[in-house]
Amino acid sequence: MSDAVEPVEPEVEPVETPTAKPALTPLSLVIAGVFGLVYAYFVYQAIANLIELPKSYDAIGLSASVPWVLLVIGLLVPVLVYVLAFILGLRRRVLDKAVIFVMGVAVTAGLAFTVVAIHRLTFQALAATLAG
Amino acid sequence: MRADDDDALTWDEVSDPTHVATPAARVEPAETASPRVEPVEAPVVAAPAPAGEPAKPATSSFLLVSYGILAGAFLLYTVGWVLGLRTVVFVEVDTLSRILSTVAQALAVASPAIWFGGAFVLTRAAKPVYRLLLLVAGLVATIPLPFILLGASS
Repeated sequence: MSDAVEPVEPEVEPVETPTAKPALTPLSLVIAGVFGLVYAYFVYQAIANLIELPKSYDAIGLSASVPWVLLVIGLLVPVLVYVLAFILGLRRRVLDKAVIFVMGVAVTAGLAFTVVAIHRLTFQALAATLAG
Repeated sequence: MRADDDDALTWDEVSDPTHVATPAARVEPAETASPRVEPVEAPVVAAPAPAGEPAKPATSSFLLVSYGILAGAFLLYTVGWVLGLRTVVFVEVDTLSRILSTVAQALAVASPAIWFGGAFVLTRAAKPVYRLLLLVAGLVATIPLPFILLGASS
């Protein structure tokens, strides 16, 4: 029996506004829309990868080794980060909403390149097993 | 006397120019029946309390050191992103795609700095512990995995 006690983590996001503010003002919708376009770019890139990468795998006769999981993760990341940023910003001020969206975009960009890097790593491993 | 008890506990006039911090300078009004004896040894001009500066709760040194360490870590992350993305090659031919890719790269490089600044903005009215937690979460969210996985050159 382990006596390791899980540390109770306090909430990272403190609720600052005690008064219930309307969750969706027109301005907040505009902000969500504008940042939605930015996130959409990463979704577009992920879809492009999802279509194009299997083609290049086919071209070298490795259609069985297409990294579908990685491609789907690449598609889910911008969507999930956007939804999370939207939810976290719901009851916050306009400035905070925008800041959360910007932080999310930056993290999304980093994760997009991380997916590319992981793909390169797995492709190198695949090439090594084929060669050796 | 009640006033004496209070005297023992409080500095009643910090901005008083005649206030002297040394115990020798403190005259005991209860014991000295005669009108005030000049404390000879105490220099009256010594340490006129900083009257101009209002007493503000300053950021504790623990917090400052923590912010400094975290800022250093985020700076290292930025270097990691710059090195990790050097090898990214884009095959985009049209100008718009290339521009957008460059913007995305810049965002990834700036992500540690963006998180650091954003954490301070979001927790400006919150307790410092939330700020620290959000900053530590940023160390997970903006970790430069391309550099860690592939190294600077591959």
